[in-house]
Amino acid sequence: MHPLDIVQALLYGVVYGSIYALAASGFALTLGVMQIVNFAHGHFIVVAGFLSLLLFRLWAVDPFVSIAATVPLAFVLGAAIYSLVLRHVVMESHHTQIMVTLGIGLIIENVLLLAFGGDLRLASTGYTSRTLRLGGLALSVPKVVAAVLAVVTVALLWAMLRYTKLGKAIRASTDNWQAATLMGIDVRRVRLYAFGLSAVTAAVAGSSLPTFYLLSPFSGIEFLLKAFAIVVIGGVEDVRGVVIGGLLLGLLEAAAGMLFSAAIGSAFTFAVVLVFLAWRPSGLLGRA
Amino acid sequence: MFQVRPLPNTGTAVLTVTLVVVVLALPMVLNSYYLTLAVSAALWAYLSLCWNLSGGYAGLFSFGHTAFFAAGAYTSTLLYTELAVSPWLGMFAGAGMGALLALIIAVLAVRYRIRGMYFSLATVAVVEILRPVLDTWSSVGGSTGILLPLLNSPGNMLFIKRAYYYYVIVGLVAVAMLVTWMIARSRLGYYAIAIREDETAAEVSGVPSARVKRQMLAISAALTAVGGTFYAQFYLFIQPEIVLGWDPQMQMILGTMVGGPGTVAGPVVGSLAFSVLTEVLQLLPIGWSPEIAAIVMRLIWGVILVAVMLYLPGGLLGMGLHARKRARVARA
Repeated sequence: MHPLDIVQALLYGVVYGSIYALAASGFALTLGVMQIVNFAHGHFIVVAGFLSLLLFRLWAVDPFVSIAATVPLAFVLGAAIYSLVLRHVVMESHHTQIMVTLGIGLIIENVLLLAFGGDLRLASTGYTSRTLRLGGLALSVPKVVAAVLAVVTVALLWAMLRYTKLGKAIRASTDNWQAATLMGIDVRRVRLYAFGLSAVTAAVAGSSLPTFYLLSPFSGIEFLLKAFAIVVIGGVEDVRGVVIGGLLLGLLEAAAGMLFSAAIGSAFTFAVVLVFLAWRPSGLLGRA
Repeated sequence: MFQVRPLPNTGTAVLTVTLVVVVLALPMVLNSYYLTLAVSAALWAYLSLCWNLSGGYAGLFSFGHTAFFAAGAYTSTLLYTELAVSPWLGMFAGAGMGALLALIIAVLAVRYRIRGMYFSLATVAVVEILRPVLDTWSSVGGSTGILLPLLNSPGNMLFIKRAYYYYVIVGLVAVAMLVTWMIARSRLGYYAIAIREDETAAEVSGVPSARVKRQMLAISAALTAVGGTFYAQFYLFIQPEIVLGWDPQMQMILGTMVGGPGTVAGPVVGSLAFSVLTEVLQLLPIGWSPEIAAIVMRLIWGVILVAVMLYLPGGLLGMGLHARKRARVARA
């Protein structure tokens, strides 16, 4: 294999890794802050993708531009799902939460199936097949844009959690929600905002996919498993863990895809997840 | 949340006998279309019963039971097509393979303390590893799968008449219910429930949790594998995308959770409700195609699942509200 091909494949690993990190950041946020396992998180991503596809088909809105519409919508929908359903299972076992969110995922998946059918879909924009040439490398424009957007969003999430009042409240509620309540933090509202934010990250990830990634109503489970794998690799306690996990997953997939076939590459990824579950159950950055 | 059950009284005895007679007489009334549906409904009920032993009783929330299902389907089918071993025997070899796989998973899960949702993820990972491996392994059919011959050979569990399949699967359901009932009344069952409710507390009280988990998962897996053999013999076609798919796994879990995890009849009630509702939706005079009806059904099922988990966490047959209150109190 030509060395440039290897560099190119690894670069795509970084590109996909950034997008995976964004996809996982919301899952990690709800798991870390609220101890809520959201098995519908992948479906949140897919919903945003299909909304962008719809806007593209109806009014030729560029999927990346449509983020301006899907993000506020995602916040409202996320907050609604939280206050209608998930609020009641915050204190329940993970098994209960898994079942409830699986139910929500089933509802989303089948509503999308009724509305759009089961085909794989892509938004063919003017730049879908355009590439960026760097030396001997050729990088797809929409993938690079999506990756940059993912990096920016994850960085904003990190800065928000670190420097804003809401972010501090979210972190305080993660560490010890009882103490946070005693300090005057309205933990219930913090949870609502955190869940809304998680849906927002899903919307950014979902809306940046349709220009280069074939989406179907069944794609939700695929993103859920990726997010779960990243959380196992990186841990839930810090956004940086998610970034490391996402990049590792992207690079692993790229490397395994080069060395073996794509199918065996996916098997390899899950083998790594098993190794991490055994070796580092709380992730690379987690407390042992 | 367990209690000592009184012996069945005359009322339930009469009901049971009536039910048994009706179930056994069904093939005489049903045409072949409905008989096929009945077989498939009974198969899902059976698989839900199997999953219930692990997820409902022991709290081992496996998302990888399709791995055991596939172990059974592939073992008996390959033994039959390659070595002409009767699937009646291959079924036991498949059960052995399923149990072996389960033992490996259980031993590693205990060794590395993989519990709760991480156990769920680990079992998903096993399936996600097995599927591409089987997909690319051409000597076991690869992604195109394996076809079984359509012929009448009762010695090889192949029948032209649907009624025979019906009696086989109804027998399997009865066996699974009997096994569940016996386990629920045994020391093993009480240990399993103790682990499900609070693993640490159970261990401190002297419950040998590692052994109980191994046994429960292995029994559940062996029975699931038998279901895999039956699936192959009935549909005469197996393929990694199907037997290791997400759908069969979801059906096992949904049937159990809605019907009543940790009960003997709950998984049967839940998965039969699923099959019956799907069929009723297709019969409604709205002009829905079977595909649309199936989608609407799954949509409704999602709503039912959320509603049951919120308002009846013990399922239709469980003492839901009681367990929910207890969980609240324990966490407060």
